Amino acid sequence: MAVVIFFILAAGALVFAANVVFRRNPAICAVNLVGVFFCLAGIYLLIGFPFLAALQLMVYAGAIMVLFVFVIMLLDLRQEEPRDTPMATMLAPLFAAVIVALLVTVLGDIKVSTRNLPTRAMGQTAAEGGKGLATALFSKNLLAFEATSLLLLVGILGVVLLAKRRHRASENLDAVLAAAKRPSDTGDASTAPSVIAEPTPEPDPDVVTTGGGTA
Amino acid sequence: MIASLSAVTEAAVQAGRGMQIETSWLMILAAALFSLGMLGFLIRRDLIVVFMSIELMLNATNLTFLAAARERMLDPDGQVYAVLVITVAAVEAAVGLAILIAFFRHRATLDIEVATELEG
Repeated sequence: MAVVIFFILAAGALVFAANVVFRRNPAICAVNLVGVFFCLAGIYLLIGFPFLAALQLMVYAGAIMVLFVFVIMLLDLRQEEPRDTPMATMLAPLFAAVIVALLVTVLGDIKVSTRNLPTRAMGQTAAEGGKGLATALFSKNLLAFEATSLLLLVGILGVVLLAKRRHRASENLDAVLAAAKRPSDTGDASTAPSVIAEPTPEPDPDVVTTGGGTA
Repeated sequence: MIASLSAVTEAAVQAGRGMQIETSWLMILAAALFSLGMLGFLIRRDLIVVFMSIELMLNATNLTFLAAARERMLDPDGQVYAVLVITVAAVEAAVGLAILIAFFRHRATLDIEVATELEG
């Protein structure tokens, strides 16, 4: 029974993935990507990783897809035209076919070494598997765990910097700094805040291009 | 390759007889997903779909980690790496989409062939 469900999920994952790659409309691609994530979560559940299945649904199907759909909505995308370079379009499927042949050859015959280990823990419950994962994550791999937390922090900072309209912020900062450098102007403490509060007109995209180039 | 494919078909024939899911099937599924992702990465023009293809490839690698981890059920390292890959994928998606928005703001398009110069 598990085998039948596995084949249904695997076929579903492949069909959804093909839709992601070959559909023109990015919104349809995003919906199909959600399908891939759901099928993979089902497979994780089937092969005995309920925690990873939950994580897959929460992080991929939840958080990452929300980001994708949000960006698609925000950017008002058109359908893409086919590439101007037919050579690359012809060669890429060939290349991918070679890669899939290589990967299937190598991965299909792979033997996972189970020496010095009980091959499958029969009757191992999901809770015990989760306990093993937690123990390994927070003891042996603690450094990697902390490194990913640092990566998340740096990622947050980078996204904030990237998403900000940099030139306007730096202009404001320059104005504030210039105001602060004038010690002779006494009693105009309101200058600096007024510079910040002053609404800047919405910049032209071209202006953004030239302004962002220097930043 | 032919040997593994014939093994898969033979296994599919016997699917009704209470078999177990073989690790090699999971690996082959992962290989196919990875190749589809790579194909999308190579042939698509839309930057956002290129990012989706990267997510596909990351998912395929995750599947290989978990397929190997299933063989060594008492050794949770594979699961740990899968968790780390998911975290890195989340960060990658966030940063990548922010770059994408910045690019769209500058060029008013997401066509990958417009992104030919590495300057703001």
